Amino acid sequence: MLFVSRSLVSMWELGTRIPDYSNVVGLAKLFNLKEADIVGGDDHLYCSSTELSKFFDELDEFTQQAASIQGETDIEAIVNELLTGLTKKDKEIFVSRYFSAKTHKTIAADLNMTESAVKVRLTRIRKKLIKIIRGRIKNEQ
Amino acid sequence: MNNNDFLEALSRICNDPDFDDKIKSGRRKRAGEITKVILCVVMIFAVIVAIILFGSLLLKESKPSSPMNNGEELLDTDPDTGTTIGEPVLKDSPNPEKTPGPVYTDMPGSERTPEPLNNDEWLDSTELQIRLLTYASMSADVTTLYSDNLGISHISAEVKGEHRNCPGCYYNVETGEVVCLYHEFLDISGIMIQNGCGLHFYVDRIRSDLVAVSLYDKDSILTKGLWIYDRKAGTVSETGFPEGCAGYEDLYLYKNCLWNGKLAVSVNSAEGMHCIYILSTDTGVVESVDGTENNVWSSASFIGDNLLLLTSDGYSFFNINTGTSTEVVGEFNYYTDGKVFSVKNWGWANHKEVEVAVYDTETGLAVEDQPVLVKTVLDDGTRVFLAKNTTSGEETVILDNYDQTAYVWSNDYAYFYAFSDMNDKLVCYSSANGKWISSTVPGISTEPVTIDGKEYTVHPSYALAVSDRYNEVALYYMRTFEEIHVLPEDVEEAGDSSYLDKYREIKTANFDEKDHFSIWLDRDSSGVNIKDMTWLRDVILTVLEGDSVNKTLGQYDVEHRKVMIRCGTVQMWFMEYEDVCYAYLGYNMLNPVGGRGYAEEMYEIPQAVLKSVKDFYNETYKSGEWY
Repeated sequence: MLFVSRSLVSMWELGTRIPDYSNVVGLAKLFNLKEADIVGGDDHLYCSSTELSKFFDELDEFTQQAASIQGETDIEAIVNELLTGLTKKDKEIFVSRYFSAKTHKTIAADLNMTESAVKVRLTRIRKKLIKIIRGRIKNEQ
Repeated sequence: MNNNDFLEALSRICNDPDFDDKIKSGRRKRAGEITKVILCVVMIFAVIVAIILFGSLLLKESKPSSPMNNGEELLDTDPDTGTTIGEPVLKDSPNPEKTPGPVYTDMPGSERTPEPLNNDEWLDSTELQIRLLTYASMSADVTTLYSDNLGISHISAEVKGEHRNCPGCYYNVETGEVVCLYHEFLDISGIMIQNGCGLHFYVDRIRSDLVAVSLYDKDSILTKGLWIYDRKAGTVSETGFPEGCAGYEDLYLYKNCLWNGKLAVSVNSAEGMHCIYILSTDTGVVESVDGTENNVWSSASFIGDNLLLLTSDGYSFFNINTGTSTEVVGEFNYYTDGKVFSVKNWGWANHKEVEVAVYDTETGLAVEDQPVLVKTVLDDGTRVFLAKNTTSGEETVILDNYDQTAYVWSNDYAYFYAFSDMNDKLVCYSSANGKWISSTVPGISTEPVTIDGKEYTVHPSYALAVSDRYNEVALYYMRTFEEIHVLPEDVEEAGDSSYLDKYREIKTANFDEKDHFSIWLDRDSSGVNIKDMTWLRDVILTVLEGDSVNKTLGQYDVEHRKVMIRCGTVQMWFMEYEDVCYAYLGYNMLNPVGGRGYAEEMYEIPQAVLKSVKDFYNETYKSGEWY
């Protein structure tokens, strides 16, 4: 129903993976729950509409620039290019935020950083992503 | 791509069973992410772009005069070790054709070319010829290049070493030497500068060998002396002052006051009243300009036969031949083809509201349907030059993502040149008819290079120089290098890369042996030198920990800017606005006509940081008080 692998569901159950946003939405619909019930705890941005709103504002920063880029392959290539160019810590921050959907506060606690330092890093990473996107668009033109 | 597309792509990547291994892998780090940075080698190259008018070739090649070459092709070499640095530096491009060995384009003297075509035939009859010249820097004294020049081979530069802090420094790309007008003038004139005095240099807009030099008192800003320095002849002559004028103290000079041998000075004829005089450097004759008397306050900048005057009533263009005056609006004005072009908010890079107007200098009436060059920022943050029609408001982008140090006007404002590294494009715009031509000109490759077995990242910067004759422009490339350090996988980062990027930028902008910052209060205070870097470093790093905000405060309302700390090309302003404290981190970009544009990042900062800056200022600069 969610078009994911059994192994991924198993990782959800064991806690080694957290469902991403689209799957949280799907699980919530499947079990007739609220999204916050799926992930639980104040440390998840899905628990707060304000946090979620901020999250999508962050995504808009670079996805709006990439409106002309279609196709799973191209989009994956952009993300891979970004991840390849990040330091270990920046990768963790990026994945924690946009894959694991953690709040800045939670990421900061996990990685022993200040919340503002996490925000600054994410801003820099999003700028890098914009640069990659613009480079791709320019190459295609 | 929309948000869902992105999240799904990220999900696929992160759900890959091999992803955990990838996230643990280390990577090579930029030197900026380590506290130690090496500024290695500065290499300067130039591309001469010739705009050919009427199909006639205006260039001639002469034997290179640089001691650096023997007619052989020069590659990048480290001047200290002689080690060859990497492969050719330009990005891949079919243009320009690389010439075998450096070729210097010998510019004719001060004679002017025929007037350009001012009609639709302009584009058809014009072509760009591009030549690549390669010069290696003799020293690493040059830290920054600016799009201002003294003739096409002398580019404005900030330097370190013996000429740091000297006004009028240029880099001579042919000889690889720093040219310092300040010391040149003092050596030739034999003049001794009194304590508390300084020199201003006003280069002739048409004849770059001619320079007006004023001696001024730094406290009172009164003029103490005025000379004409002919660099070609190697002579210095004192100008004297107009009859009826009590002394040099009654003379005021303003930017662009010297045009083709005519020097415009504003003379204090009575208390608070001024008149404009024209001094001919060829004949020595001084004449008043009828119609400019009794202005409450005026400044005079030459553009052709027109003086841009600023009085208490505002700006106006005054034609010295006809005596007609045309009122204009806006802060940026230029004149060409019998018209005055006026653009408000030109100098501010982030300003989106731009007003344009064009006036006929004979009738003083507005000109309809005239395209005007505008510099502005689009809603997505892209910086562009565009042509805007004064009547319809229609806008056409000429160049986007231009390099903020690489745009320049020809001296007579007939042409505008700009370069974009992101687009590998150089454009030439005709202000008379609003048309432009562009050519592919590659930027510097940023592929890492290897020197003596060590790998370095490459940081390019660009500047444009326009010839005395308006039809040639040189694009200067400058590369700086930073060593790349490879970290073991399990080493934690010493600090956030963003802080250290900024801090490194601030440090490398310094050209003193010790770190040198200055701090100003508002616009009126004198600079106070700060020797202790620790306090300031902590302030800047604390600022960078704050939230970067997408906010402009009714842009450039100077009353909101209270204290500025400056080091090299980096400026940081501190202010309060509606009970929130902010810091602007700004980067200077010189505007070739006037004013400075800024690229800025704005940070929300704690009250405690602002208080610490206030306390430091009040303690250090005791004769002024902040708030």
